[in-house]
Amino acid sequence: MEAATSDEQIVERALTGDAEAFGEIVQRWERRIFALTFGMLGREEDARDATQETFLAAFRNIRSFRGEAKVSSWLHRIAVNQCITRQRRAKVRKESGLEEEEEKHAASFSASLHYSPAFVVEGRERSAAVRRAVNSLPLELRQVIVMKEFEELTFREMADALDIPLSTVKSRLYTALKQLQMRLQQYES
Amino acid sequence: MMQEVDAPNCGRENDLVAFLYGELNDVEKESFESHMHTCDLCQLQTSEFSSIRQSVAAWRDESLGHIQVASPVNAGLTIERKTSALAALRAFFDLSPLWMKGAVSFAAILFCILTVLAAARLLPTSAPVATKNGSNQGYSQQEVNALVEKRVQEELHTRKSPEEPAPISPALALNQKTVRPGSRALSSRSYSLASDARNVKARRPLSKAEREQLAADLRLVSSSNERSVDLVDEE
Repeated sequence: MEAATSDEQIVERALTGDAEAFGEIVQRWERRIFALTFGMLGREEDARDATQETFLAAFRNIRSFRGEAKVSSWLHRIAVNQCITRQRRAKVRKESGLEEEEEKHAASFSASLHYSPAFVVEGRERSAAVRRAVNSLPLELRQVIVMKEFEELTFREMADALDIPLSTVKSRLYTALKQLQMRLQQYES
Repeated sequence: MMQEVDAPNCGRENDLVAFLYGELNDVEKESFESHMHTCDLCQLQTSEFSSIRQSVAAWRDESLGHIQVASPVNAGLTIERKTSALAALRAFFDLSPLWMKGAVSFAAILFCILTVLAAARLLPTSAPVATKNGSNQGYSQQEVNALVEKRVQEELHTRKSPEEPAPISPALALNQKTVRPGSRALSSRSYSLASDARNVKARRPLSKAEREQLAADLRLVSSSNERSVDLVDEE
């Protein structure tokens, strides 16, 4: 039986001029990267843009990929950088008053039409609170929450992607959960 | 009771997280579960963290539930997927309006008819005339030519044999050498195969007047008045 092609082998093909090889990388990772960017940014539209920019940046810089790290880690770092850049821009826009309208749009986006108005309002408020709580976490804590809850990576995969020990992944996740707990209680009160 | 981030703990936070996310093996899981029976803090945090996970999962599912089928990057970074010609044709027909389907069908039928007509004109008409021993292999052009030539020679031979002219008299033989160019020779061996065949078909017994005229042409008589001379009496 033929062994599955690794990401690194596909990148090697892309480096030798195989035009379809990078498309395979995108197909393999687009969903996880989108989950990551959505978890980091909290909005679908921003997550779409960040995902696109992540793969475009990876394509432009594919020659700088040295094979020392895994492709997944490389893409993850690019995606996180894209999210950080976007959040900085959003902060500037928020200060200039452009963010409020988008906040309303984001709130209406997550509403479901299949539940009663009271349930929808309650769920929407809860989702908005969780989103705010996740977005307010420090970057390294937000990363582990998103990788676990959105990308559904194992501890080992997270450790490889972040290039940190397994125990550090667990301790960061524990701290992130505790801080989320505190923030949510603050919002509810 | 809310636990503070910096509150003292039992030292098994990593096991708690691994237990929460189902990443303990059976032995570790059993060990941690027995610990939880005696550690209120771990019991409480396990319950509260599970609630937080549910909230995060609800937010994720609510936001990304409809995304699972859609590719998030298709709008910007198009991945060309190869489709078969049949699939492409099917997709085209599915999306086309009725009039376009009709027009395409008519054009396809017309194209097929024209192709058949063109093929019928261009195909060589000299198809194999026979097959050898019932096999599918036809005769070659050389074989056909050889057979035709042989057959024509046989036909000539069989037709000439009964009508072979009588031995020519010495006088006739001498006069044959003086035949004018362009006049008809009686027994030229240099005729081509085709002209021999034509002559065989045209040959018939000559009438008396024709024989006389022929004799005159060949100068076998001194003058046209000598009508009683029969040079070739075949009867």
